Amino acid sequence: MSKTPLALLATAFLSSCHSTDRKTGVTGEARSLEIGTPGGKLVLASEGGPKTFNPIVENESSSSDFVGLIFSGLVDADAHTGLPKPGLAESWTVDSSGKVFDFHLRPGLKFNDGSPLTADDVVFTWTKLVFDTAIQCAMRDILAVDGKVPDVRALDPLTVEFRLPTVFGPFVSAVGGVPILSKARLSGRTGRAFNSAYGIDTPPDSLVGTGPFKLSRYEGGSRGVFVRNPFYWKKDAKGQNLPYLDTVLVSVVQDQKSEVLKFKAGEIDELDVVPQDFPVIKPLEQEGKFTVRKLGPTLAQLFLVFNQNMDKDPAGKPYVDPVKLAWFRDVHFRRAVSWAIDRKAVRDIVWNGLGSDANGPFSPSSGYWWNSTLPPLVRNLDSARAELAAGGYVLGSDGVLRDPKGNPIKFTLLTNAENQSRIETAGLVRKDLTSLGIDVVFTQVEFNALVSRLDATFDWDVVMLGLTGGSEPHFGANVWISSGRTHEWYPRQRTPSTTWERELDSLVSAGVRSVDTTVRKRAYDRLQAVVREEQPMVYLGHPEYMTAVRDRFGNVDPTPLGGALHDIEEIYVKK
Amino acid sequence: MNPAFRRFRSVLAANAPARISFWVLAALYLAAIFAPWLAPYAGDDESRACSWAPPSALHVRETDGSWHVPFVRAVSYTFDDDALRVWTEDSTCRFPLRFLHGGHLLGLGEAIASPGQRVSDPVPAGRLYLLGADARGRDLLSRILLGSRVSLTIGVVGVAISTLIALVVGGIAGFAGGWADSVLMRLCEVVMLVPAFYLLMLLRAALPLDWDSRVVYFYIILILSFLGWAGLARILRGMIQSLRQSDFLAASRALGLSPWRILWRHALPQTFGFLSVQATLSIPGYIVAESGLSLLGLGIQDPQTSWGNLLEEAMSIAEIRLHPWTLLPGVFLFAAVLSWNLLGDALRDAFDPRSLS
Amino acid sequence: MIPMLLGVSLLSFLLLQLSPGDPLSAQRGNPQVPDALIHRIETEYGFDKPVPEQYLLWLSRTLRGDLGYSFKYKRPVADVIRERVGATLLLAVFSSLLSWLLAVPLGVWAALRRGQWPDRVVSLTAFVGMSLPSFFLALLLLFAASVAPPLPWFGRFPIGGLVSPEFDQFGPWARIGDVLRHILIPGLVLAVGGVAGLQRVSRGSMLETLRQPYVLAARARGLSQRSVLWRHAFRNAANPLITLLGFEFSALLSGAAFTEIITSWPGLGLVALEAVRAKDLFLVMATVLMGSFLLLAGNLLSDILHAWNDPRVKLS
Repeated sequence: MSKTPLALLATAFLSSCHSTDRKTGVTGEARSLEIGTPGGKLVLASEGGPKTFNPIVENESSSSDFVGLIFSGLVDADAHTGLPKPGLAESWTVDSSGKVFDFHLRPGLKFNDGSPLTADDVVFTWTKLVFDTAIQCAMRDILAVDGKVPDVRALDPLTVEFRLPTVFGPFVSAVGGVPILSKARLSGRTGRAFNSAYGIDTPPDSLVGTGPFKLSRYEGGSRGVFVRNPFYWKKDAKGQNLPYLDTVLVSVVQDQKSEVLKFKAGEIDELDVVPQDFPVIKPLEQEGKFTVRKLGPTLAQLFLVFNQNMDKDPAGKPYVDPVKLAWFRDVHFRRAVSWAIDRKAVRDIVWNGLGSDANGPFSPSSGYWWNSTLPPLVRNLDSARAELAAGGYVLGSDGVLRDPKGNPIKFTLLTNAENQSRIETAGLVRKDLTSLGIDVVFTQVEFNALVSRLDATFDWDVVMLGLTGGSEPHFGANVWISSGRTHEWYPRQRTPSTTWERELDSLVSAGVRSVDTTVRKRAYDRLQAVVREEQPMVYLGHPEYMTAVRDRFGNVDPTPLGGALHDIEEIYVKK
Repeated sequence: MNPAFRRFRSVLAANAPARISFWVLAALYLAAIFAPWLAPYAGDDESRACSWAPPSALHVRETDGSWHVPFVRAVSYTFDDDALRVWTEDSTCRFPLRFLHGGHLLGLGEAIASPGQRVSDPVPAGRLYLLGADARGRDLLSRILLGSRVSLTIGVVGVAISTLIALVVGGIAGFAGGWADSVLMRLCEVVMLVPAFYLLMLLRAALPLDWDSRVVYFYIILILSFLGWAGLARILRGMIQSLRQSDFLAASRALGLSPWRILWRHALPQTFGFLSVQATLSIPGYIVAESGLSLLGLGIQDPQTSWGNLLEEAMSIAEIRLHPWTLLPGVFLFAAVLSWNLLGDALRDAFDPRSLS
Repeated sequence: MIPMLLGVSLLSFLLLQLSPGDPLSAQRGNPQVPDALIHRIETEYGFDKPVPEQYLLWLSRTLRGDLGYSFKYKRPVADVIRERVGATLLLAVFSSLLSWLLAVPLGVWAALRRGQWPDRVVSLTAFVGMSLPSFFLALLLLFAASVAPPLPWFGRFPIGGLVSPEFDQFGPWARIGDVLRHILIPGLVLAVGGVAGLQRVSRGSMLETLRQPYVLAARARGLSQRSVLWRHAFRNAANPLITLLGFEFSALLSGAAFTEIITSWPGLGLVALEAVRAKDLFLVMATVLMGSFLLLAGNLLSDILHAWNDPRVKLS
């Protein structure tokens, strides 16, 4: 199960407060909620196990599976529309300038240890944790426009005011992505030390949050046991305390394969069904008493990215071999690689036909923000050869492609070892590129090691990677801005190294500084077009998003934006 | 040497399982040598439209009932609601089997129109999948044959290198004695103490994970040969020690022959009988070890082929039920191992009559 | 025993030195690994010091029980090993017993029907069992288990893991049952491999015993075949088998690793594999040490059993 962090879900409207339980939206009708009965247990799986329980610092789905149950923020996101809906804040207002937001907390809020939550905790979390540059927080990078962050202060114990330096389109949704932590517990641990706070060996009682569940026990590498948070604020329409479920078990699995086996054995209750498992899972619906739903293309992206990093390491040695760097920075080369890849084969062979073409960086499931005018990315060897010719690459009579300086084109393709479908896809890609005369050496690396290489040592040529996505374009900003942490091909640049990256920076800025959706859409449409032009990432397509959940659970309403078990507090066991 | 050969022949004559094993192994190794010719297709010859094609149906009768040379028809698939492949044969044309065709023993001829039909344009892809196809439409039989070159030879080469190392170490220790003997024997004991799997992991961890695939074969042999030399070295050292003290050698020395010459010409040949039995018994272990390593993704990798590599594709249980032919490399593996074991067992009984039969 | 383990530690340390690059490079840039931790490990293990000094530093810590830090699991290596060793031991014990239970009757039967078809069949089947690679058999059994319908009372064959998620709610008997259900496939795979050797020894030993004069004498005195068999012959025939149990056990510890990995049995083998994949070098060293230690212990066990069973042998 990999949940998209709720923060990435929202579309961008400056909205005033109202309950959005029954709104139609981007991806289908919302169901009306049933009244459930308390009790029961839900067993989930999480791939890989958490690296940390720190909700501010965590950055992988393996950690957010755990963290998302314990902590929550001022607003939540509607799983169908992506619009923000009240969370810890029951309402919010914005003034006429569009730069001052007041969030009104619900009265009587408590952390899961019973201590009261007030505006001070909100201010503490934002000013001392999120905005502290010594702390690795992805949301800060998103919220910092031109390096300036909002000013946060408590107007009274139940009201928090945010003063923004500039208009920020998706501000309310962004707010929801920051879970509120306890000032009393953490005021002694700010600064650099916070990066390692709330690690996986933290005693469960210390993980003080406002989510529907709290951690009762974590058995390293094996599972986490969560119990109902008795102080959770939400109630159902009849006034019963939520969550309905007594316990949630998150079982750590090695890989997708074990997760499927566990689901088939009845040991877990929910499974994100990947296309290669669909033919095996679907026939078991009757016997296993579950339902498989097809929900459209995933929001996630699968792509190849080239290492365009021009920096040198502390010893003065360039991170990337200059010979290869020249190829990777050449748009003709990148486009040729893209034209050579047989995406239909990926769809039919790896995904059993369950998928659709990508046309650029956004998925069709992003709805309104998706640029539907861009043509799909497909294979065309003639175009590939034309691009290679334009770049001065020559295919020798020995079948080896050489660059203008005569170097044979050869590079290493990495992906993570745990993902069987990526390995198969990489095999197909490798073979496709041999038709251009390119020699690709494919290697699998363990996931954490891969992330280290991408983030820290930059020891890679080409990587096949996936990124979870959401619908709100600005929340992917870290990928597009040249100073971004997840600007995978050349992260954390001091100034943009190319004109098109400079254009991306300005488009991201334009997109976020407006409230007018047509202005924003124009910026993001152009962003998608530029990325498709320059192909720093070669997109391979979207598998179909499908889930399987046991029928005995009520209020289950999977969406691509929310995942299978969004609003987990509403889920109950049917008698 | 000659008496050993004669004894070998008599072992085979007496022992039926050993005889069968010998011929099975001969067939497997010959197949490996001639694999590129025997295999209908090259190892990376893909036909993606035929991904996961089941073993080809061989027909002999056409749509009008006439008899022909065995042929296959082109197949294609669509997905049903359960995303399972549904295969249909293209009955507009047939592809006859052809021997000695285009550099391979077996292949398919050109498409011939069926009665009352015309060959469509473009010509459908006719493929001969005697054992089924893999995800990319590569012929499994071809890959098994080509993979046998790696799996079968790694065992033999690995054992050869191991034996060589053992001979050197055991020879020096047995002959020199003294502190060299002690040091080498302690080393042997230490290496023998590490269970094989963990030793494999240790050696694998010492090498970079992103191997150039060409270098992989070489490295794996290196790793595997590290496994078996220690035990053998100890035994050889004992044998050489006892030989050293025997009258035979004393007499040779009295005649003025140098110690090295004695070792080479006289002492070592005495061990050959024993060594060949040991080798035969060890080879299966090496074959299994390579397959195991590749199965875990730590050995031979795509695009190279080995039986372990092929079994790695079968590791996803979902696949096995839909494409059970992916388990076939395991059958070949089993046959090779069983044959070596039976042969080695018979040889051991033959060379050491005291062991219980 | 200790010098042997020291030797192993030295060997593995030296081999890992062959590994190119700095062992901590992967962790250095990781934002979630505190700098303080990296610095501490660097100084404690002396990465900038010459190799012999590094070895001694590492050794001194190991002897104190500190096996290093696992970056993959973010815990001391000793904790990881401790959690997993139990499962491997359990599997080894179970498989040894199972193979013994299968091999002995088969061997006895083969001995009693020597030369006839049961003898040949048993011998051949044992060979087959020995030649079938454990991982292939594991794959076959897993495949069979996945298509098998749920059995009455047994339920579906569990695939992977030591216990079910509801383990905590089980009473003591149910817990034992749960572990047994999970251990069945890996245990069977390993047992099958061990049966061949055991069965031969059992058969040979039985044959040897049956030839003994005292057996003939007992028969001559009029005792039935059955009582001779069970009361006299068997007890003596069992001697080499008991010794072999020890060797079997230690061989299993090594062979178990592949099976553990394929059947997702959470033991030492799985940890070793993950450690290699993650380049978690402290963990790799520890698994090698642990594996060797278990092997040594197994050999020691068999020596003790041998001495206990055979009064003629004295332990030196």
